[in-house]
Amino acid sequence: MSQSLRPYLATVRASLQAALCLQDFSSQLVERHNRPEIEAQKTVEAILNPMMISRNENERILIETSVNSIRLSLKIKQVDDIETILVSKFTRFLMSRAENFFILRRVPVQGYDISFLITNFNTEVLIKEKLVDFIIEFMEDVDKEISEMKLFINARARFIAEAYLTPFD
Amino acid sequence: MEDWRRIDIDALDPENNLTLEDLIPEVEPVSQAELQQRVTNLRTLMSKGASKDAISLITEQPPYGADAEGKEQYLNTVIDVLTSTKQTEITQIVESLSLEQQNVLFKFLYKGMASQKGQQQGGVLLAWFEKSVEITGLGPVVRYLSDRRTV
Amino acid sequence: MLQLQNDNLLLKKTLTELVATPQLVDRIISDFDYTTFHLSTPEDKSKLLVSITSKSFKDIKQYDAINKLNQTYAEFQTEIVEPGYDYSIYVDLLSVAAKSPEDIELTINEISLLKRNLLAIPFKLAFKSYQEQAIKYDQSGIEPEPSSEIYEINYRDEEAIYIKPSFDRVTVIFSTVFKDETDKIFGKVFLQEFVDARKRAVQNAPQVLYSHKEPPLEVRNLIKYQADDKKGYVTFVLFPRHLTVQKQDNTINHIQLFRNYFHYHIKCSKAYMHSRMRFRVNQYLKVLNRAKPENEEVARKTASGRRFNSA
Repeated sequence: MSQSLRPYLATVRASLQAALCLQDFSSQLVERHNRPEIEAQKTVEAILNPMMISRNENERILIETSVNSIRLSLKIKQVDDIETILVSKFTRFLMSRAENFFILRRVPVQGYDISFLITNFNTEVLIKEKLVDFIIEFMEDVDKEISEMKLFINARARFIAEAYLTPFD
Repeated sequence: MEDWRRIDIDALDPENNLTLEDLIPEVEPVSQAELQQRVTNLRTLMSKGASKDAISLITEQPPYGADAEGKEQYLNTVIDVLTSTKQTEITQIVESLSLEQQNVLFKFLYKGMASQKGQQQGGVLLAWFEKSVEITGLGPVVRYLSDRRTV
Repeated sequence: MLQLQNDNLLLKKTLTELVATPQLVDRIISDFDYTTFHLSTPEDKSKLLVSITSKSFKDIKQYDAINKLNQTYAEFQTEIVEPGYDYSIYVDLLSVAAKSPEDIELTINEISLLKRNLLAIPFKLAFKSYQEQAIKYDQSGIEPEPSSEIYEINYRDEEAIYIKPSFDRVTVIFSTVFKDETDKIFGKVFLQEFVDARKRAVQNAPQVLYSHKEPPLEVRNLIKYQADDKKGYVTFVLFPRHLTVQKQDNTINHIQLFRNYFHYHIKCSKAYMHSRMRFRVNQYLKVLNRAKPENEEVARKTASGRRFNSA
């Protein structure tokens, strides 16, 4: 693990553990409704301070907290066109399967690549520690996956080009 | 009175009209000059290499009452102080802080990471955070979340 | 399958079958670049009419294509051209079957290369023109004026091949369109490698240049174009070593298929990327599912097998 990745993940882990203290909270506006307050943004007293954790300008995570839900948005490192396209493909791929990833948001928050929404209903059923583990593992993996794919494309392109040009001789 | 049946009585209930301003507790205003004075003090301490005193000063009097611009300036100085502190000293400094001071430190760390300047120095702030949270536990993080007084 | 083949496999198979046992057929076979073959037996099951239609035909026609193809397929030449198609040959399957096994194979191969032979015509002309200019240059020692001679083949809707002979080289330019953003970026990575490959590994290969949006200077004045963000131009510079009589056919075989090869491999990479992502997503799901608590407590029973009542 690289030098700056460890503190980054440690910080995210601590912040998430603190933020994932969720409890059931009925809507203050509509009777018999129960909404993730962070998405509704209607009840100011239910919304807490957001936390932004940045590794550098291109990689950061925004944890928006409220009394019954947190929204976690990830900005993944993209240094060139090819990484941008890979990230957008990959996140789109994940988000179109949001049904299975019950904590994944189908649309990322503006300015971020992928967002998760964890509500009190999730934390009631799921083990909180493992949820945090998942997020951390995801963050760790996604960079690796993107750079591996990029390397693969380059290697493949090189091979293809040589295979095409060699028979000319 | 026109049609009283159409009056939205819920709108008249003060409970339903809480705004963000109502939630922020009363804080003493901090004037621009006062803030400037603190910045100068911090710079002096920093040039002397007295990081411990500087951090202690920062966390002693958080500029809750300053306006957004003043806070921004102050934050820049704080980030400078944090960056100039030796990594090895962090643990010792955090240990010497009182509970209240630790809370303030975390506020600065989070605010710093959200700012442009802090993002450039991402590694430093993360190191601070990692080392501090080892000592303090999650308490200050939760208190950061729920405290409406911002630095 | 790394390299694409010049002949049409389906055409070849069908022909082999038909030569062995003639029967009535009516088959349509497709190939790259909007090329379609039609195999039919209008009169008799031993007489096979093979017709081809291709988008590039109306450009190639002006280079005396019909006569040239008739030369190649002299044996099967026919006056009729099937309506809706550009060129037809009429094959007497019995007379083919009467040949020696090697000759049968040769004939079948030749027919299945119909598309390749059609597209080869402008290349051959350009190579001939290069040779003439080269000889002139050898004799006189004067560099000939750069001619405006250019062969343009619009072989797809928005894509074309331009061939420009000169006294010391033949420049082949492909214009290509990237349908979507991903293709464009993948294409850039691939083309960069094509450009670099020559410097790194295959020194004797033709020089490859790539330009985005704007066509290369050689042809800028000669072709009609609009600046288009989706368009790219790939230039191959064929040097004399690729243009010798022995190498010509090989070069044509290869360069013809560039666009197909290129796009084919972009699609392959994308497909791989997708299967990889699919795998990754499953892995993440597994990790996430770990967060689900272990299976619910099994209902407890007494030693005699009776259940506890929860109420």
